[in-house]
Amino acid sequence: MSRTYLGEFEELVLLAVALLQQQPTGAYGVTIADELQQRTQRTTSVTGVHVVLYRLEEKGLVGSELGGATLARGGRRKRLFTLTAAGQQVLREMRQLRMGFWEALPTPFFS
Amino acid sequence: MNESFSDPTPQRPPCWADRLLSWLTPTDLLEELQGDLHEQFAQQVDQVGSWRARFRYGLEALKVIRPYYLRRRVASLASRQKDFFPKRRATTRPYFTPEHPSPSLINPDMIRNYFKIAWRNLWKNKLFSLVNILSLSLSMAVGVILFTGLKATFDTDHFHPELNQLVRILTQETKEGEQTKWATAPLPLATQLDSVSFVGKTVKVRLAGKHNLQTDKGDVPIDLKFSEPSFFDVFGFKLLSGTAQSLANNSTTLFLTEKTAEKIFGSTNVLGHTVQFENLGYYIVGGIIKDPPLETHLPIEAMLSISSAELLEKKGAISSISQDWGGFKSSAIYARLKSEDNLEQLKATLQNYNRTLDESNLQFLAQPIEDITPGKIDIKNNPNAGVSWEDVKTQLFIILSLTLLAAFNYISLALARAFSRAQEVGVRKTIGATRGQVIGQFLMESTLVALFALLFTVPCVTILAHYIPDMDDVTFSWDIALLVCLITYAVITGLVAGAFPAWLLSAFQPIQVLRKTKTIKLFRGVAVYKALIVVQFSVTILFMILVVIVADYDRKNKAIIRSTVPSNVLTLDLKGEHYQNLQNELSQLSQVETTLATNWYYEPIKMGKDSVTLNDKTLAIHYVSIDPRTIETEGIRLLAGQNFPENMPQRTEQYVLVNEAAAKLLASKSEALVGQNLLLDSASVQVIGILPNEMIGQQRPLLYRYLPNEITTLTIKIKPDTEMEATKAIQSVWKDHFPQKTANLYNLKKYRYSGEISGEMEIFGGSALIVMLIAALGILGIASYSVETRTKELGIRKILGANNIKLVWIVTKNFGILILIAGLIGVPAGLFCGDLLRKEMGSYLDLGLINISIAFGLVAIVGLLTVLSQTIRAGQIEPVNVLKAE
Repeated sequence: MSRTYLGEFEELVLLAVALLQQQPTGAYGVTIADELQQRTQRTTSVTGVHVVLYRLEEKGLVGSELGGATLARGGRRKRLFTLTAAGQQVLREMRQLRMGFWEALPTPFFS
Repeated sequence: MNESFSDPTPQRPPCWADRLLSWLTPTDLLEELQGDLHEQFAQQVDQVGSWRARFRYGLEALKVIRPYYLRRRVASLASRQKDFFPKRRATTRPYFTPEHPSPSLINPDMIRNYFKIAWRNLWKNKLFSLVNILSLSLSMAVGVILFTGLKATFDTDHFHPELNQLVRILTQETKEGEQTKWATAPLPLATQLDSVSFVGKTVKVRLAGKHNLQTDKGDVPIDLKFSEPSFFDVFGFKLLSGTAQSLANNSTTLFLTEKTAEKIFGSTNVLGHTVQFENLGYYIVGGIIKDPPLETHLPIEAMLSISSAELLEKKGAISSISQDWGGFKSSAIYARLKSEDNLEQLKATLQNYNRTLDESNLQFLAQPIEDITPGKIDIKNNPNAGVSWEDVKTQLFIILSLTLLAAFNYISLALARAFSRAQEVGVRKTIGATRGQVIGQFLMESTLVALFALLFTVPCVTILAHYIPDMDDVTFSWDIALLVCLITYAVITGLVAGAFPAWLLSAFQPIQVLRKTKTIKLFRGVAVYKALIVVQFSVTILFMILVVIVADYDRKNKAIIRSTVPSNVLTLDLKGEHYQNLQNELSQLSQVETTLATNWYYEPIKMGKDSVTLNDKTLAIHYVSIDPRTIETEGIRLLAGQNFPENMPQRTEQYVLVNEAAAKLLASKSEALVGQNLLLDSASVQVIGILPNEMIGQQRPLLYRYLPNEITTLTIKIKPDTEMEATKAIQSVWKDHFPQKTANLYNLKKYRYSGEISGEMEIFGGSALIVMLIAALGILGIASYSVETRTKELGIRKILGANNIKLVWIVTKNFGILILIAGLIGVPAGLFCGDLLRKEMGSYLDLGLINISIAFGLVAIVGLLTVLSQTIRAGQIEPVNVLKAE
């Protein structure tokens, strides 16, 4: 039973990384923050997202690489995050756990 | 108006926010985070406008202030944590990765290593280590003495049981709008306090001051205190013999301390002896008080019972204050509370006892005994409270400056030896030592030296303390706190001394020092040691000048005393009695030549001070009461005017003499003063003559008046070689007149002028000695080193034909120049301080050429001899030996 515990925000960031790494922009601070803002309607700060990303990296759920400097960034590189195998595993477990709960609920609970 | 319309360049985020970011964000994370923020900013400028975007950018930057970033930022500043993500693959390989990361500075293994190397270094350079240790221990000795003094101060009164329950009652007097705090309190208050529920016990202590105890050997002034048996319950004073209760039972009981008993009887086994106090009567020794183990604010010499004070009050022997609220200035009240928590309650209760007297208002305060020493200056009547907080600060300052002085030596020696250490630093750095580690190494060395110095100093001081008279009284106990204090002191000294050399030496670039040590200039900083020598020697010269002028003054003073004060003059203390009959009878004695009833005999014996008004100018001037015949008898020549007339009126004062200094003070042209009328206090008197200034002692403006009631001394000039008989005869005459009192008869010259060296002399002499020793030790090390480094050069010179004297001259010359420069600084400084001293002492201090040259010459000779003791070796150099191994 060596599951990694994730907070809600961490889980959402991890999902965002999974979603965005498929897309051409890639998953990094700004895109993740935008994605979360759109979906949750919460104000998300880039610095906060970064902290969560570093934590996830320390837990080994995401990996990162530098690259993709643009003019708007003043020539600074971005850190592009990708989901690791462990990250995928955690997301999958999370989903199963939640699905298990939903299936156990009686049907008329939510019509 | 709005720049964003006309400016084609893209909007930039606020630069303060950028700066904040770069301060707060760990360096490794700055790039990506700032990039993200800039990108977001660019988006937002399009979406919500530049003003809002800037605001949001600032907000984001502020959000960096969160523990996650700050912790890492601090860590990266301390370069403790090089890499946050050990698992992350490095995108660019660093140029050079050490196989093993450098261990941090504070690490047991490294410290052990530093210690080992430091020890080897010290052992290798024994002379330098010795010089360093000696000079450090010299100045640390003073530090240790001051520290033990401070310790004694903080230990004061710690021998009382349950110290935190003890309080002293203070009186706060408000008189004409001015508030004064007194350490004393009116006696009736004690009775009132006794009825307060949480006050366990009170003690009344009446401070009677010095009273003469009459012995066969003359009067011994003893400090008397009146108290009651509860004194020994409340305080930690113990009785060696006798019972405390006898103080209450018997009003003639007298308690002596061990020290006093030893002083008077030479033994402590004196129970039952009877002694007589002048004006007070007879008392029987009923107990011996053990000398307290620590200092106290309430030193006891002798104690009488408080009931005897009441009897004495009735007799009129002492002032009557037992029932008087106004007479609070010579009695103290102490109380032991039931618990230390009652202090606030007591303070509140004391408010109820406020008193209003005729002219003043009294309030009472409670002061814990612990707060007495070190205390505040502003409490009056607190003579034995000892050191105040201000003094403590001054002492700490002195310790600090001494530390710096000693550190100078270490610095100059270390810098002088920088060359030989440079290679070592180079090698260490090449192997991979960081600058911090090199600094650590050097600091460890200096700290070790300081600790050795401490080890050497403490036993020396403890032994010396028994021989220094003032130190003997300092009682303190060794405990952990003092030890920790001393060790901290040593460590700080070491760190201060080592800091500068360590910083300088650790900056060496290995490539420079290892390539060609001999030829390159390592740094300009080596010249610093020359500056240090100059500073030390100028201070030494300054002190030496003061010593010489004071010694010169002392010598001249002694010569004057020898020539003016006759050795056949006796002084007789009148003890407040009328002297006319006595004087007449004494004059009849065959051995007596003349008698004078005077308070002045070449210098004031007893002075008063009065206000003098002349032409609207009012001054406070000292005066002495003088026998009108003194000037005639002693053959003193007046500068102007005339002596007192033959028949002086006894009752009203008509004439007054002044000395030159006073005349100068009063009138611009001193001769013009003769014949003028002065207003002395409120009486008008005429100045009839001007005397020369006092030749002995301090010179101050002085008035000579004829006030028969104020005369306290008879001076009796006896025929030569009759002192024994004369003394006996005079004493028997005294006994006839005043059988109650013993005669205080002394030979004036022996009694007043056989004293040792003056206090200034001791202070300056001591300081000069220490400073000179430190300076000499410093120059010794450097001289020795300079010979050592120049052996090759000297060898070559010798081969080329230089003779020995020339070789010694070459190495000595530089130091001579340094000492000369020190003279150029030290002599004016000495002149300046000497002038200040002259103003302070108001006497002839000769700041002439001879004294200055003697002082400078002494220092220069000591300095040069020290240098020569090392450089003389330059003459003994054998070229074969020093040059063969090139």
